[in-house]
Amino acid sequence: VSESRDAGRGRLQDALRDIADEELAVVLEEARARARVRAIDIMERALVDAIVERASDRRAPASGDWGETGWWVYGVITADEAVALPQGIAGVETSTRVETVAQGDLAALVSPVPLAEYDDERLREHLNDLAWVERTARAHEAALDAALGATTVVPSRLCTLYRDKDGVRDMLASDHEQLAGAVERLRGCSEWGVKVFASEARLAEAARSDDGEDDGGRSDAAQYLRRKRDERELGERVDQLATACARECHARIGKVAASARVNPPQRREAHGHDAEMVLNGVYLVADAQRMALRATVDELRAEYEPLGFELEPTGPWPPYNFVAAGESER
Amino acid sequence: MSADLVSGQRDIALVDLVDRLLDKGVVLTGDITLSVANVDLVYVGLRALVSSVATAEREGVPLPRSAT
Repeated sequence: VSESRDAGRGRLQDALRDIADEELAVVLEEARARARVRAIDIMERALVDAIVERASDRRAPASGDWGETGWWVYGVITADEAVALPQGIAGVETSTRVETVAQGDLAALVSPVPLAEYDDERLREHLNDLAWVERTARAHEAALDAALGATTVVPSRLCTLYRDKDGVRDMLASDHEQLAGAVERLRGCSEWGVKVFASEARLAEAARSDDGEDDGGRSDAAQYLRRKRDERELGERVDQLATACARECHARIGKVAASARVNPPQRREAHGHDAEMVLNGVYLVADAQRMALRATVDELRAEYEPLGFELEPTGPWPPYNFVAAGESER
Repeated sequence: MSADLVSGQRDIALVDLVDRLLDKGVVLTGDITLSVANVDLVYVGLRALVSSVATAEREGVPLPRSAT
């Protein structure tokens, strides 16, 4: 009995082995096919990297007149958002493209620049050349604008430069806490500016309108003194009106903002309006609150423009005014 | 850019750009131009042209400060 049982077990094992052999052939075939696909995938990525690297090598003129390359930093994003960036964002130097340098969970948006243009002396010349500043500032801003739709960017100042990509990585590591905190704080938000201008003539008109006393029957001296007093009072009233408007606008826009700040007003030659800037406010606004912001600005316009004020909103901006935590003025 | 407050937006005034890009934005460790960027001299010429940082106090423009 035990002999036939052994024989039966032997046959079972033989049968299993046959099946295993057949399976092995199928499995091997399938593994081979999958390995092929993965190999193609890996090689494809390596090839893409190689092509991109070659392309970026070629950007710097090989002749040497470019000289040493430095890396211009536009801002910092989280590394996982790097894939969301549009391709081919133009850099500040002609025919360069923005790329990313990652370190841990952060990545910097960078593009190559000739270092020689940014030594102390050259940079000083550049910064005193308004045409250079304008061209460069617009290029920096345009690059950030392109990134802004797809990612949360912590924007850096103009002319933030590193000698090599390792320097960029060191920065990402040493400023990690500040930058990671800023990205989180700024996520889903944009900066908006609202400037309020006051036309003094129209304001004076508005302030005067509730002051209709008749001068008839008074002496010249009395009329003169009264006019002087009226002028002074009118000036004070115009100032009060402007201050009240600026406060009200800032407070009400601040209500729809995550963070709000007041910058010093721009001077008349700079802003070009024939009016005094009485508020230069900046607001960090959640993208979900954009319509509320618009509605608030419309309301304020309806209330204050008839009095001689003008509201000028700008945006969305990269959050230049909100890269540092705290200090919110509400 | 959707739902912009200003139609035909991104016609950016230089003064707004300069106020932000030279004066605001994050300052990063190890930036090689930092030493130059904070030289007042560089900035003075530029500010005289486009910006106004010091004018607020001088002209006594009413500035709404924090209500708190």
